[in-house]
Amino acid sequence: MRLGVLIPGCMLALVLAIAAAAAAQSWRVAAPGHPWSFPDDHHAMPAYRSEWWYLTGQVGAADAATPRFGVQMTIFRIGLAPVRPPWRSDWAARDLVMGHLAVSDLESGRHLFSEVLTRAGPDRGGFPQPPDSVVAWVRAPAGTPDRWEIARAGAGFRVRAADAHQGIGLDLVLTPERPRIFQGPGGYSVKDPEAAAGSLYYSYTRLDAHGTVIAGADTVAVSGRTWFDREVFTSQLASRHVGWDWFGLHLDDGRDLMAFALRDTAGRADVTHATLVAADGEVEWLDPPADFLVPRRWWTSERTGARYPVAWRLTLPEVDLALDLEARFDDQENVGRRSGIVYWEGAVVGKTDRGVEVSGYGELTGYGGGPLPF
Amino acid sequence: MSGRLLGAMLAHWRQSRTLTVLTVLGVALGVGSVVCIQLINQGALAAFAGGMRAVSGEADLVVLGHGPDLDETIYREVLAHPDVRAAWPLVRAWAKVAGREDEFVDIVGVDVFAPVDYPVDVGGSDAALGGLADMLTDPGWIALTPEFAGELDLAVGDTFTVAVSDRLLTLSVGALVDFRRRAPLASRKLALMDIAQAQHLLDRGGHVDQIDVRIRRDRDLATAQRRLQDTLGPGVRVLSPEQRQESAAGLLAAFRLNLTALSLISVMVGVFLIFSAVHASLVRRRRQFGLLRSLGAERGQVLRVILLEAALLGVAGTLVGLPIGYGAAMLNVDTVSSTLTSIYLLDEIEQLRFPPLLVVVAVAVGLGGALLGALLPALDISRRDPVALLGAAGLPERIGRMAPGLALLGLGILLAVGIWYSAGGHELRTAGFVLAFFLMVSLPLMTPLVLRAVCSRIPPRGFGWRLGWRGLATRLQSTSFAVAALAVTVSMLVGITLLIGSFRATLDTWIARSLTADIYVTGASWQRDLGRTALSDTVRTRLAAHDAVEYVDLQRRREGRTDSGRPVRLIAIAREGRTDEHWSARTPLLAGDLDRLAGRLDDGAVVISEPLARGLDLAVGDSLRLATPDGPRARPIAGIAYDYASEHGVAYMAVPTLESMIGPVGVAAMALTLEPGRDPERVIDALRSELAGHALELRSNRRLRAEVVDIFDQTFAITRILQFMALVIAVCGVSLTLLIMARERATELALYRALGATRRQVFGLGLGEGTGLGALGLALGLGGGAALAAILILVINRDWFGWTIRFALPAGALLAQAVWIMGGAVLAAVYPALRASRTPASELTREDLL
Repeated sequence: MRLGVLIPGCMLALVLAIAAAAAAQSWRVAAPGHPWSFPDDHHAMPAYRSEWWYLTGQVGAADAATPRFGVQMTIFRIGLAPVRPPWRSDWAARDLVMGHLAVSDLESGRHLFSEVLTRAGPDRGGFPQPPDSVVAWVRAPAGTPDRWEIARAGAGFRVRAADAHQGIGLDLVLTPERPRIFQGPGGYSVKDPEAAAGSLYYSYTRLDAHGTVIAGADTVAVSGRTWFDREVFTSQLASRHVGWDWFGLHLDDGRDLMAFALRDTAGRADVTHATLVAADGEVEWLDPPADFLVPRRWWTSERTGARYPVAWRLTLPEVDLALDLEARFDDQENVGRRSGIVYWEGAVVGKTDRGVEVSGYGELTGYGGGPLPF
Repeated sequence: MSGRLLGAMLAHWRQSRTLTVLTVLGVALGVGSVVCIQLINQGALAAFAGGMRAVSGEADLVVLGHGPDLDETIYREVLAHPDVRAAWPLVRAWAKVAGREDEFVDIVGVDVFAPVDYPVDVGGSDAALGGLADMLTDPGWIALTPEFAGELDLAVGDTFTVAVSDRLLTLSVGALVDFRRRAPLASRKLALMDIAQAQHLLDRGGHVDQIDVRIRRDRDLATAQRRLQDTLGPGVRVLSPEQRQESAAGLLAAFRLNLTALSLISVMVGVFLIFSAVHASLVRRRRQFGLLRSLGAERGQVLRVILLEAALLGVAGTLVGLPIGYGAAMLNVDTVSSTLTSIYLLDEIEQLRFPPLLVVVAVAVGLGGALLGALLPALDISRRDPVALLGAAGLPERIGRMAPGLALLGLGILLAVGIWYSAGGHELRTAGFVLAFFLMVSLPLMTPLVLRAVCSRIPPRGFGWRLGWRGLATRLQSTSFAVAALAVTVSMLVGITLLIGSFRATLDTWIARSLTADIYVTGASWQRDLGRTALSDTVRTRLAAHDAVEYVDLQRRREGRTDSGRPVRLIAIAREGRTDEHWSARTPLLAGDLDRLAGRLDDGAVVISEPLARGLDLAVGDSLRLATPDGPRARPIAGIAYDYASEHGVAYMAVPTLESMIGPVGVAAMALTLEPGRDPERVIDALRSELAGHALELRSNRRLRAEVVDIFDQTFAITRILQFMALVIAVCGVSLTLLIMARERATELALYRALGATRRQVFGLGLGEGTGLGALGLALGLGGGAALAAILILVINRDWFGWTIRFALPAGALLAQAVWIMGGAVLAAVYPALRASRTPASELTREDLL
């Protein structure tokens, strides 16, 4: 007697299935020594299974004391097959496109999230190659015209996305304030030393953003400081890792800090890494101890039941840096209804022990919802 | 007092089992017919509704084209609309399972990333989940329902072959999908496939069949529907599930109406049976009633008790009728299903569901029918005074005096209805049914007079059947009812037989003139998809170039709609290599200039079928407005052709006209005319082996005609029930009437016996009465039937279907029916005649002799 199982409302199972199938297929594995070539490498690298383009930051009116909005916009590419299936149909696709958009109103404490998930194709989503300036795009959710898009603009990018139902949107031109950095030697970021799993990872740690943010009925002219991440990989997480904590932080003394910790099933940090960019642009890759990131306070989501840390103590003895961080407000949880992915991505603020103001974004995955398809 | 009364009555019913059984049977017949027809009527649409719910259950609205499909680019516009919360496309197609007779798969191509769930069964193990990814990449991946997989003897992992048009495809069962979990009446033939694969295999790139839409929760559905339709324009239709259901119901309207009319007729028949049985029983017990009345029972009490009896029998009959109706429905499901699929393009009925409301209706019919049938006899008996009831002589006749009056009333009704019809009643679409009803009402009214007039003129020569015939006139109370009922039933039988016979003859003529090719070629899935997927070019060129073929006619077609929403089949037939030859110019025309037709077709005019012309009140010179993806388009009408293939309508046009409205269309079917002297069957065999890799249906002219006639016969199959009913009436009605008469004339018969009549002579008397009833009922029925046939052919058919049907006399069929009915009447007379012949002389009492 077969047991019936509905295809879950989240197609996570499908993605898992694809992951299982993909394991048997010939995707390229991220490795050191990638021959970088820009600006072409801003575009998709289809030989690898997955990649994302990730914007986070806090923006607000130019004359405001503190930024009013936290924004996050991400486009993901998840490979379904190394080669597009040979069907005579516009629906035949080798990739899934997923878009996430979140706007946190830091004054009212309201966080709104929108997800789009579709297979790539004309009218639906895609990853154009040069000379097209568009790097990744996906059609906007139902009820919203036009599309979400990340495109190269000069030395920087232009990012736009909107969801009319949720009443959120952004349209920002990003200009790098300092050059792009690699998050590891040769742009390779180690995620599991034993299994040689890792990703190609580079960031624009400090970009000046100008544009508009839509929150409800208001369209607000904003500017602020943002962070742009790009990662390309085939299988990033070892099976013993359930998720990660990641931070992209701007220090008021001109330094930028990226830090992440991959957590194992017991919740302990297993693989850690940090990158510190000095005020003069010098990049230092650090090897933090497992306990470099200590949660101070927890918050439980009523929505999903997941329990997230929302305040931390971060210490990097290597560079004599210690700081306290806290989420601008607790509920910045993203729940992807179609993907089943649940994670926390929110604006954080803090102060170093020496009194330097810190602000940026934190990302907490693997605390709730199913396993991640990465 | 009433309680004991009731007990006494019931005891009687237990004793006279035949009459009880007949009464119960009468109720059961009426209830059974109503239940059967209603089950089928509801079942006809339930499958469609079930399929809709299974596949599109979560949709608030559906976007459809006017034809079978939509341009994919509409999807983009739908998604952008502010009222839309979610939208997803579907591709639908029928594919024939190779190697199986008449087995089709209903393929649904879905986007598995759409925000809607499908009940795909993956066996519950993680390893099996991997199979879902194969949906996108494994060629031919398909998910079948567990029932269908079982029927085809397939398990997950097996492959099987299907034919889409003339292409053979290999499909691989990747998973099971249990649609019945979501909608129990959904067809078991539904199957899921990835939309990209579906488009690829079915050659539908760039098109989808429908787009399902969910509206924002804070928006009013009706307003959102209107706004979405306005935004998308007149090239598409935006419908709610209820509207789609209604549109399917509209297709079946005429069909269902006729079925319901049939069931009402059987209710009437049942009521008559009850009437006869109750009447017979009451007459038998008149002494009992006389006794009761003289003991003090009041008229009202007697009436109530009789009616209560009838009610109880009604309940018993209903209980019997319900399973009979269900069984009859089950037996007829297949026949009706073929009609539904081949003519109306709907789903076949796979299951019959018994809604609780139907039970209520059945009980109402059963009780109501029983009470109605018992009412007149009950009133009659309860009104008579005790002396009359107790007396030896038979009950006085009233009908004899009323006969001329009744006949006059009948004629008057006919006249009045006739005037009403010509004065303005013909505007009403149901006018035909009104005419038919009043004809059937006037026939029984005229029966007593006719009976008396004919029978009293029979010269009495000797003691035998002639005396029997004369006797019919003296007992009008009983005999006229039997003859009237028989006449009404025979009328309906004869009317329908004449209709079917005429229709068949007209159809034969039309077929002979329009099916002129030697071989007809379609894809194997033609039966369901009607050529929506085109024949492949290889087949087309090889057939055209074949040395046995003189010329080839190519048919292109598409289902479409007028801009008022009425379905129209758009057909363009052209001769291969000769663009100036128009098939339409060679069809039998009802109106239009044949000589100039070819030229007008080249200019973009159309020829429409007769039902379409009548239905929309169009004539040559008017325009036919069609709904196209670009909005409404009008085409001048150059001719009207006879067409018996569909009640909905066809428009014939030149190929460029068709393609200008709906875009390029592939060849759906081919008609081959062979070189003189070639044998079609041999050529078919040769073609089959030459084109073995293609899934083709090759029909010779003879076979195609036979198929058309088959479909025709199937459609009218359900009216054969009428023949059965007529026979039942003949037998039961005659039998009961004779029994009653024998009862009432017991003393008279005893007198004859005492005077020396032999048993055989009395038997002959009884037999004569039976044949008399049968013959008179038959004669009246033939007259009434001819009139009814005229109404059916000239009025009802024209109003509801729009065909021209020429009168033809199916003499053979009518004769056969007459023989059956007379035979039934004679047979029915045998038992009563035997009983009568056994009346001993001692039945005479002293009182009678005084």
